[in-house]
Amino acid sequence: MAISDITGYVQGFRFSDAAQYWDSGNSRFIDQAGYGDFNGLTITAGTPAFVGSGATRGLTLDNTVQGKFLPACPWAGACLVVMDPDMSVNGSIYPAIFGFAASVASNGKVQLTRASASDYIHYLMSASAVLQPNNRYTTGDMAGVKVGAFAMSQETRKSYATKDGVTVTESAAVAAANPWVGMSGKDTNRTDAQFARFGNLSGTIGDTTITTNKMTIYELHFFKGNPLITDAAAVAAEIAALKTQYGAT
Amino acid sequence: MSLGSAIGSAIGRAIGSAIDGGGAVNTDAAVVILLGQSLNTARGTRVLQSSWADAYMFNDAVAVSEFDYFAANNEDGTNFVSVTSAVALAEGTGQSPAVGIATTIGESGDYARGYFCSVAVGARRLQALNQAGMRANLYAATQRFVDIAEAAGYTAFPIYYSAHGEADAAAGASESTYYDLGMDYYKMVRMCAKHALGDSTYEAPLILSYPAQTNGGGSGANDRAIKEAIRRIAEDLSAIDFPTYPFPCESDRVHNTNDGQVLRGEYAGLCARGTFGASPRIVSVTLSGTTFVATFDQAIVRDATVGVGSNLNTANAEDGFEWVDNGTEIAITGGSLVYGATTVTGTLASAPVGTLAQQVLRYASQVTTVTLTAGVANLAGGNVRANVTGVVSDHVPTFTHYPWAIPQVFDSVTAP
Repeated sequence: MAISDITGYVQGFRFSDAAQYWDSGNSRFIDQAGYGDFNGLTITAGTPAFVGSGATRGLTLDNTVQGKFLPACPWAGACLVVMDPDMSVNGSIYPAIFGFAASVASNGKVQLTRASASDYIHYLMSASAVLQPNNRYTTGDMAGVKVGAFAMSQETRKSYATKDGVTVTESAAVAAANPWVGMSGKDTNRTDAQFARFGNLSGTIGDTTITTNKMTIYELHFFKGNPLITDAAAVAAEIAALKTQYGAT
Repeated sequence: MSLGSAIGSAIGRAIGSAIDGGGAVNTDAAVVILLGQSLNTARGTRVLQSSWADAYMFNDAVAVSEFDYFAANNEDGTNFVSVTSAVALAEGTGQSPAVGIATTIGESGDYARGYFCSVAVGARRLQALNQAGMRANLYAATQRFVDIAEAAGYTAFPIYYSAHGEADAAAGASESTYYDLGMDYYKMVRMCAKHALGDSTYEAPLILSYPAQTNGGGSGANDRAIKEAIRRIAEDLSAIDFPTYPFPCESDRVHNTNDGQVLRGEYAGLCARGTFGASPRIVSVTLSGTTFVATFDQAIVRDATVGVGSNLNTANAEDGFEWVDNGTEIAITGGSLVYGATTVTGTLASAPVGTLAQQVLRYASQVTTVTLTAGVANLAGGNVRANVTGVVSDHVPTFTHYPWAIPQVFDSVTAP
């Protein structure tokens, strides 16, 4: 089973410094979907610190290492993430932000929230939280690497989230009058706004100050359409494979 | 990548599958997405509907500027309900270039059907097109048309035509800023097609037109900066570029007339179907004393029948050519231009005093300070076109389409 077996794979990164994933000469994570350099993720600030080894190699994000990538699904789509929060205080951090609005709330994003010492939530969130598919982890389910998949559909105007590809939680449909459904942002006019921000955990543009809440990110993949529904078996198989690879729960 | 290979992945496949197997059914569908600002929206008053029975648009309208959501916020992303299905292409109250494109693509027979949508939004700078709902709409239009075409049993070939630059010129964007942003934007546009098709090898044909004029006259410096940036983008991305000065404009010198919208669309369609490639451009200029020789990249011919810029050639300009010596224009001697197969030789009224590095030959870049008048006589333009067989317009049978030389500021003058 491979990520590329899931229908609609358009962009993805494996945050290891092995040569097939990391182009050190250009400080770029290589697009694993095969769409070339312009679909890659370029580190623009800081020096990546890799942790772990072999199949469980990952990248520490603490707001000091940041980059950018062209978001492949600004209107609708799905993502699959493998990450491990290291959050000691309540709050939210943002490994990926789709947009450059001054307020991070006005941007689409991947978000990790520590609601309490026993309550983590992993989100894919549209601008202004119009849709916010999420996986919640509580007491007994919090420690270690997590694998999750999320989707936002323009067709149904619903969001979808799953921890295993089998049980998919589904939101209510958003009214058609609200345009902020997809992985985009309510941007102010910025010349760099076609790229998503990566690793800007604080959500503040230009801020590279180390944050108390950190995370390790292992994989980030994007798909057109909604494979959580249309290709559920493949998603479930891949999540199971990734859980085995990373020893995730 | 060569220009030929840039258009080859779509056009070549279309023509190939049309004739493969000695009569195999053509199932290729052109997916034409119009980008940019007001010139590529539906505007003015409709003068022509599509005559191609196999031309389609989204169920809501041909342009997002006519979608239901648009009036509430021009920079929103579209709702799915506006792009649910395809219906016969039909302009609303305004005229977009889509009908003209459909006319020339349809006539070619290269594609069994065509899908058309404009995601352009008026008065928006490139940085605005790159983000928020307007970027979402680029993906929405491309992905939905690909899905709809494939569901109907057709093979989709996305093609993009952009008419942009006026807003950035008016805002004084530099050539380098517009170039950098444009390179990212149009790379993203092509990536969008790859993603929609699930084909990393597909290089969508990209057609770029130059603004007629962008900032209401004056020195024209802002215009020239944007046009030079577009030229560099076209060359670096192997896009097909063409000037808009042959097409009649309204008195603002920016927007085409209703008929001009159709004519410009016809021309973009001729590029999309491969009849015309990139327009002629100057590739070298030599200067010896008062004699200069401009060499074009293809066979050219003088053609004064359209009369573009004819009111602007009274001072220093000749057939749209102007010489600038260290910032000061030197008149080109009237009647001195001699046309060769690919060259234009001219005589300056006086010898330049600056160094070679300070010499500039401009083409189709005249200052436009005379009275605003509709038409083309007061548009910056010239009399050089490709020496090829023209294509008579369907909509205006007295008008023949040719690839006209692009506006240019050539500043790499050398000795012979």
